[in-house]
Amino acid sequence: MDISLIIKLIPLFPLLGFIFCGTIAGRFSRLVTGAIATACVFISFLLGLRVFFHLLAQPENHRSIQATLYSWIAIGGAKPLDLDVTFLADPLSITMTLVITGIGGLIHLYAMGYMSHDERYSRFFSLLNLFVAFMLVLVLGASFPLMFIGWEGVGLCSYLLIGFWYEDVNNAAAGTKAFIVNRIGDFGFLAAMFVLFAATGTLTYAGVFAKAGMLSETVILGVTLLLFLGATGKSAQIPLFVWLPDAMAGPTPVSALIHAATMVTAGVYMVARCHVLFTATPATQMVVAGIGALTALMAAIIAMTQFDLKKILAYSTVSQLGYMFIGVGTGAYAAGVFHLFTHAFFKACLFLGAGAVMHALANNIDVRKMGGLKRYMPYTRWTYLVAVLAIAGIFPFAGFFSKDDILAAAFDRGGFYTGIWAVGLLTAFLTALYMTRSYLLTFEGNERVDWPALKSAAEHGGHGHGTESHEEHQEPVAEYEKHGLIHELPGMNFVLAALALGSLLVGFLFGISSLSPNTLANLNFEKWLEPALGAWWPHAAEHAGHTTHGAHHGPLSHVALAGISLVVAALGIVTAFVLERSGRLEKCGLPLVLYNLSRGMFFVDEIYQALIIDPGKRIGAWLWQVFDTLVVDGAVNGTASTVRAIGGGLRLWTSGYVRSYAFSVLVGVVLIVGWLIVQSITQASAIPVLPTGGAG
Amino acid sequence: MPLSLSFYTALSAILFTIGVLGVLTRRNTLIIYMSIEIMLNAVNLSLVAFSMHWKHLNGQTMVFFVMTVAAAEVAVGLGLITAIFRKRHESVDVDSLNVMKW
Repeated sequence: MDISLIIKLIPLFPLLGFIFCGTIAGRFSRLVTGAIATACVFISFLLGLRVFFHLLAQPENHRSIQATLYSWIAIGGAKPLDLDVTFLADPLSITMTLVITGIGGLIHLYAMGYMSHDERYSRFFSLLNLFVAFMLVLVLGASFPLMFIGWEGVGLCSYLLIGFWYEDVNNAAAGTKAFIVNRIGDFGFLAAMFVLFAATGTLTYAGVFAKAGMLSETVILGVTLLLFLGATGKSAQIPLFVWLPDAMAGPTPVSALIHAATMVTAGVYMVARCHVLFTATPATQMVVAGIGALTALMAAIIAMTQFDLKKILAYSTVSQLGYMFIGVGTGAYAAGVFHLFTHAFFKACLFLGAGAVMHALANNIDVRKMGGLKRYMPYTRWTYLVAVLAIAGIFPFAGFFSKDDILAAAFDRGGFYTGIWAVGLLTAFLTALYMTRSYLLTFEGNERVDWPALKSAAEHGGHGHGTESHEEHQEPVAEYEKHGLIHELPGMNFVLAALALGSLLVGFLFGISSLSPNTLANLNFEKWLEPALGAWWPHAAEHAGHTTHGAHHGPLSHVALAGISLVVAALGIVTAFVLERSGRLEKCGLPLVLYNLSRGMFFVDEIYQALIIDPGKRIGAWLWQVFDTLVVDGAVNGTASTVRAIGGGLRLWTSGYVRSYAFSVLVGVVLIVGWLIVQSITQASAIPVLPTGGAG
Repeated sequence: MPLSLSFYTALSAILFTIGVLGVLTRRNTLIIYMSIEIMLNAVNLSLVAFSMHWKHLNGQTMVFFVMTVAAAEVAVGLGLITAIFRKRHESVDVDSLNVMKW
């Protein structure tokens, strides 16, 4: 089958799934609906695999295929715009496609079990499929407007899915917040597109990147900063990260898919795709890396004191996204994308594990009411532990390789980036610390579960929303009963196991050749991405057709750096255990000032409220009450009343008195004749003279 | 001796002025009408005089038209006045026709 046809079909199946689940799924059982939705995503995965193998079979510099659907915009004139709907399959986009559809498919499978009691089951799956379709358009698009369509589309689906349980107005408010904050970023993206079009006259990747060398420095600086603004909105960096913690109001599969594995990585993808532009401005690269590092650190500090399990994971996502931006900001685009890849596995695993815990505990999300769950939820416990080790960056789990690649790139680049490396190292310590904390508080230690409430929730049928404490059911729950109250679902277990396996293996398989170049060299992730992303920054000069990632620059070799990262991560885990022993885990050993800052989430929401939202509301109120009423209405009404006054004055002239009318006519005649006479005196022959002769 | 042009134009001007003054100062509608006729005839006189002066028939042709229009206008106007006379309590005082005031 023609490969470009396969590429065009990739986004189609989730779209069909959306249509099916959104319209006629009501006639089928829930199993069928969920199965079809999941199948659509997996079909896209298989198609993506087909394209992937096709690309592998090509020589390295031929790994880019374009498939055009139709001609979209064709405007002539002085500044013509000729844009087709074209999909681009190159290593970067295919990698993203496989991540989106593979992990997305697993999450769909999980959601079949998780959402099985929800009344709007088919709506959920239709929205999930629509999200996957839009995300695929985002990564497969070959031009900026097409990426923007996917960009906006995933924002829309994010809004719809966060506010899925819209009966609670807080959920709807969280969805609105996500959409509006995203919109601010979208303004940056749009402005960047306008500048790009004005400067280069084209909007396709090929066109723009070919002309990137001709653009002036200020233009590239402006464009990249604006693009990065868009990325901060979508990928939850400073200053636009405030929507992500609130987005945890949505169902857990949504948090896993959208806010961990895919949508939030769109910003990283965009920066990686535009690496040509970013490499040309070291200033923007410093901004990107700096903000990434700052966000990573800040989010890690906040995560250390949260009690809401999903919020811990949300801030962890923000922090890891910061790492990805450190990666792409340093110029190590492939390392950033590699971290994106590994992060998808372990973050999805973490979120789905948290979902399993919530599902078992009747939607309780407070870790202070968990503990000791390892006895009742073995699958969840072990997969969660694997994912925690992966995110902490322990060898040989996935996070070790990707995080280490990023930190090594920062260290190698030196100067400003050594500071970034230090911040990244500190954040790695904190990451290991708070993730282990979350594991310990949930699965180990004393049982703090509210068993009576669970029992009454189970007795009252179904899974309630939140645990309520009934005064009448305070009798203690016996040991043998506890196992019956908490259960894991096999479908969910399978997905968790698959993701944990991924977290264990993918880093090793695809990244080990970074450390020692001869092992499995062909499987190196970053080498695979080179056709799309250019050579990895520190090695751009000495790139000689094969990876030499073991070569070292600067005082420390790559292996030594990896060792430092490993030690730091291990220290974090050990610290968590020490804190648990001494019972200080809930405060996480922070000094009081930092603790308050962290608990209050650095008061960013409050700062925005005070600096931006409230003044905005006041300006709006002023405009409405003062400006609109006085100036605008005044102008309109004033014009009307002026006309009325003039008319009122003029009407006094109509006296009905015939002789005065006749007099006015006379005055007019006199004036005109007088003017004509004056004219004929001042100029010769102003009035045409009668011709002499003629009929006489 | 043949009269020069200025005599005729002077007479025409005097007649015209008398007509204008009549329209402006008289209250009786019929008198106003007569004044209008005086104005028209003053113009006719002036047209004929110029036609004689330039040895040209255009002026006299215009007089024909003016006279025709004046006759038609008188017919319509007298009909109007008669209607007003009957409606307005047997008076043709122009000052009493002020219904169209503000």
